Amino acid sequence: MNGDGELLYDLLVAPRRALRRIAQNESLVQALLVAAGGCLLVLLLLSESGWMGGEQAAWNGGLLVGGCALGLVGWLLSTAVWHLTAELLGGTGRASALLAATGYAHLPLYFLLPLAAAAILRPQGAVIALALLGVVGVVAWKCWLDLLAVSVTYRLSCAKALLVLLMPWLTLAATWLLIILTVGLQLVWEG
Amino acid sequence: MRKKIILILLAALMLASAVIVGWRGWHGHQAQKIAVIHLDGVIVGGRGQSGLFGESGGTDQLIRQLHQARDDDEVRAVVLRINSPGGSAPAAQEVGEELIKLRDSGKIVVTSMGDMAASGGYWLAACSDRIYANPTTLTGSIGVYIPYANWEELFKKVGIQQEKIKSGPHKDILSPDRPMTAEERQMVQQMVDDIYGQFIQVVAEGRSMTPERVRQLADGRVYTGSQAKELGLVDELGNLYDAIDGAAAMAGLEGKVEWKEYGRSTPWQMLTGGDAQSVLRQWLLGPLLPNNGALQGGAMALPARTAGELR
Repeated sequence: MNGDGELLYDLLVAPRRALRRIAQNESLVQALLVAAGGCLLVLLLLSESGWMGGEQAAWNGGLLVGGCALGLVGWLLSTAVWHLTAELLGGTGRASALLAATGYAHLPLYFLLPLAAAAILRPQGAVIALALLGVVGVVAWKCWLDLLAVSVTYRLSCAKALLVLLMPWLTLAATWLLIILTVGLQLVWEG
Repeated sequence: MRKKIILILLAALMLASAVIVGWRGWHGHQAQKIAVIHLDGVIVGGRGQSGLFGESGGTDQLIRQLHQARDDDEVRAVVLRINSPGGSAPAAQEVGEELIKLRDSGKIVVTSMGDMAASGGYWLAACSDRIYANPTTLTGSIGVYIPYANWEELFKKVGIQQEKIKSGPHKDILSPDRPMTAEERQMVQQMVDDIYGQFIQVVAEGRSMTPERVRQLADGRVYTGSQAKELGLVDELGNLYDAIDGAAAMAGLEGKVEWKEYGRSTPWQMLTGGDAQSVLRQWLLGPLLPNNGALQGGAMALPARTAGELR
């Protein structure tokens, strides 16, 4: 079996070891392919399910390309933010290594495809519920891989890696809270 | 070897899943569908409330949805679900024209009346191929009025003396700070009569009645759905699903009908759309508000100087 296939297999069964190898090799092209495929798949499934403004938006080439590009920009940005946060928290590692590792961390998204297929083939309550549960599992799996990617790239403990992942969200939440409080106070003052 | 087999099996699973999802996507787009478009609330022209990524409330959005339905090859018929007491005459006329264009493009347009489809709401209904109403739906109210209030005495009491420099004697017609002259009253009445005549014409053409017959029914009164059916203002009694089935039958669709709703708010739009601001305001200040929407309309509603109110 070639190296890429083995790497993907290891990512499924021994993710820490696989991500360490990915971070060492910094194989960015393969990471880009995995991430782009994952983003495209999510967009296709979202547009099919009507989450992006109705079914008329489905299979719209421009929308898919644009959405995929946005997803990839999101991957780049989140990696950059995580890199900065990890450095701030005392980790040492290369941003390109993290970029490769988080790119490969999109792999669980491919498992949305069989879940969607199951829901299409048997659109009944129990199957839909299981598929939704599966979606939650896939998202959790991806988050777990992101956490491992940060942990192995910067040699941080899992707790610190979790803090790195959550820091942007905590900052956003704090900002939102501040905005809502400011707007609320202003409205109370005016009203 | 074991790794290879597992990877091949996984690849086969992905491929089979992709085929199923892809087939569903392709098949879904070959299906013939009924579009359901909602009109809720007072009919007002323009874009309504604008948000970060969308707008809601004005007829521009409704017209855009009608355009989408017209351009969508999957859509064979449109069900317009009306829940409206009426509104602005130009806005109703604008949407009515779009409904006629939609019918001219070869698509069936069926109206389903909800709680109320009166006045401007009925104007739109009259532009469709068939009208469904519930027996207790409030409809009719075919007529026009232009609101006017004379607050001259109130202004005097509070010490307001408004002065105007105007280009012509009628530039401030319908102004609330002075009484209307007999000549102005006649001018406004002529405007009302003109719009009323256009309304009568739309109903007469849409319902295949003579204008004289429509004028007999159009004294402004409200009818229930069952009364309207007896008078020929409504075709069938039934709910939204009956209207969808009727539209499918008229469009020649057989079996279980697929329908899709236009203008349905996605979770993303709910977060960023025009209503988000009012939701936030309501959420923050809800307990402080004496009644819903007290802060939304402003402190005082001045009489609208519109071309006509259909309510």
